[in-house]
Amino acid sequence: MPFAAGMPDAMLLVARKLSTTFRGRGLLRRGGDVRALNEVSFSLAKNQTLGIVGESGSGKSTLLRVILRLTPYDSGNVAFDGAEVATLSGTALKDLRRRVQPVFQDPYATFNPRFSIGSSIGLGFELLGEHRRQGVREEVRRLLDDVGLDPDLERALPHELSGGQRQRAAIARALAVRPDLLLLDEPTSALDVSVQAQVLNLFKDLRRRYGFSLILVTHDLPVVGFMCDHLLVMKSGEVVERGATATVIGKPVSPYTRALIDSAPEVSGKKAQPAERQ
Amino acid sequence: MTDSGLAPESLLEVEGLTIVLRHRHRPPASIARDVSFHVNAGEIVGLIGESGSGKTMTAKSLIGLLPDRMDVVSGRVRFRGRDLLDGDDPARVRGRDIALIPQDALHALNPVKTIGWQVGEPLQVHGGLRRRRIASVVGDLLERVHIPDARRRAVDYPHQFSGGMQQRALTAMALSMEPPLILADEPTTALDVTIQAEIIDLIGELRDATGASFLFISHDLALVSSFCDRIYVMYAGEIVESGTKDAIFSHTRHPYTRALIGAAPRLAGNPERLPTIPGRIPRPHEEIRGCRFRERCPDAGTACGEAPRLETADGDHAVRCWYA
Ligand SMILES: Nc1ncnc2c1ncn2[C@@H]1O[C@H](COP(=O)(O)OP(=O)(O)OP(=O)(O)O)[C@@H](O)[C@H]1O
Ligand SMILES: Nc1ncnc2c1ncn2[C@@H]1O[C@H](COP(=O)(O)OP(=O)(O)O)[C@@H](O)[C@H]1O
Ligand code: SF4
Ligand SMILES: [Mg+2]
Ligand SMILES: [Mg+2]
Repeated sequence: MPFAAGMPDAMLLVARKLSTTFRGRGLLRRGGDVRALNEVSFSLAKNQTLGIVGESGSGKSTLLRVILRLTPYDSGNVAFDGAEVATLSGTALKDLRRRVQPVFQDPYATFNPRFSIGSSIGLGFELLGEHRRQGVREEVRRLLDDVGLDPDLERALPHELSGGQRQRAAIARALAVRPDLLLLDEPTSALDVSVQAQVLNLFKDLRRRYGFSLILVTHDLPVVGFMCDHLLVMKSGEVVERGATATVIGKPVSPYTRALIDSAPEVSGKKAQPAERQ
Repeated sequence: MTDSGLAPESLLEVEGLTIVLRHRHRPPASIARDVSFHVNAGEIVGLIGESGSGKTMTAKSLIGLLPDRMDVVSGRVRFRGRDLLDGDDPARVRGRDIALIPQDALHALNPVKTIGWQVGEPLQVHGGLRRRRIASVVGDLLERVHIPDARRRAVDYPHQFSGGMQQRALTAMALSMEPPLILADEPTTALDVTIQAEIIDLIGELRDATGASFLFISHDLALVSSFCDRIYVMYAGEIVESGTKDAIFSHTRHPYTRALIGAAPRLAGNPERLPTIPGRIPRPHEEIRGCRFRERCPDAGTACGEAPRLETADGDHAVRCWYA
């Protein structure tokens, strides 16, 4: 039972009844307050991979932002490696900033357009307190190589890379600080299927090598089917279903999950056979 | 090229379209090479391929929207039997006969004009309708694309619409002149799956209600496989395989199409690693001898040093490969 709180010390991230409200203001929020998260509970064990799916506006990105402490929450709590995220300060907060790394959908926004890819990635090492110039440069080149990029791209500016290359560079940047948890928000939605396959394989390889846990937000259920051992389904700020990916996809309990599975486009002739589901 | 090849129900017939990009210091690069396809009345036709394969430029060339230095150097485009490339003024064709829902849809709306104003603009330019009448048509159009509370929301600005609603508004704009052909360039790529499904249902519904045809451009194979009648697969500026949905996905012939299908993950029963396609799509100015897919092709053999032609295999199924 992966979601039972039986072994708290093996848990990397535990959220309990987490709620967040955006206060309504002016024309934009005609409906008044938006309850973006409503008593969301889940946990993530060390080395687990969790996929989060749900329709637009269901609160997926908000949940990631709350974990990163970029968005405050009203009630409930979220603990990373045993420490309540809201109460962190000083070195402990700095530590969280290093250990939990986001990779967002638009990697263009992650990079300063005037900095070379290499210097953006190199900044990560300063967080680790590694200022030695030569060592940093070698590390950056090795990381670029690890994510399947030509190390000479260290000198390139963000706009000179293709979408897939930029996404790889964003991953290299996140990995530079040796995080324990990667938070990925739609990391492959803008990529071609061929590049997506490379990036997804890359995540698997890197996880084997670096051993981080991973939360993946996506609208693409087959991507979760490939990448994640666990799955969380959200709707209107609430968790409607969760469990092992194969179980949820094979035998969805909530009608909403069933609808999501039915509307997931899959290449014809490749729809999973019931026999393949566990 | 004779008229006899034209099927009677053919709405759009493109033959041997070649687009080049002129360069100051290099020889011209080919963006599309000898591209032929047709769209029949009431059909939804898919055009798929990796980014950079020339899908958008092919679509834009039909309505005279190619960027600077890019030109159609040969080929023929016929719309209802009329020659588009050397006959009509493209601006007249645009909107009235063929409408484009642009790829960058979410940036295509003007942030400082209301949705209603933008949807009504083509009517104002082409239609010569009274203002009151335009407002009412705009309301109908927004209703047709299922904008909730459409008439009231017409005065909203784009930022007050969600991504899915903006996409619907753009679809409404494309519909405004009731064109028989709509080119939809990756209309759902930026949207989440439930909204994607809605837009696709909407396209199907509009086809049924208005009889309009769609050329649906996408890099998303799964999406195209779910609802297009016929599909063209484009690689590095060339059509490499075409046929019915069933032919393309259940009787795949071309190694590139097969590789694309193999690279897509599935809901369940995935391999430990996804099969990938080595290398990358060649840039337009790269000189290539023989088959353009050769460097990445798992099946390449001695014949491939010479460029294969697109050959019709059985019925409607055509493939450009020596070994297919
Ligand atoms: N800064 C904000 N101010 C006000 N409301 C917000 C803000 N950020 C998010 N919201 C609202 O909170 C809800 C959840 O948004 P969130 O971005 O988490 O959705 P999501 O599941 O990531 O959607 P998508 O799949 O479209 O990215 C939505 O109703 C959204 O409009
Ligand atoms: N404005 C432009 N100027 C020069 N080259 C362009 C321009 N737009 C696109 N291209 C080139 O044309 C080729 C085909 O592009 P495009 O039709 O946009 O591909 P797709 O839509 O299949 O992704 C690409 O090599 C691209 O770099
Ligand atoms: S012609 Fe040769 S290289 Fe080209 S797709 Fe066929 S087998 Fe591959
Ligand atoms: Mg989001
Ligand atoms: Mg395009």
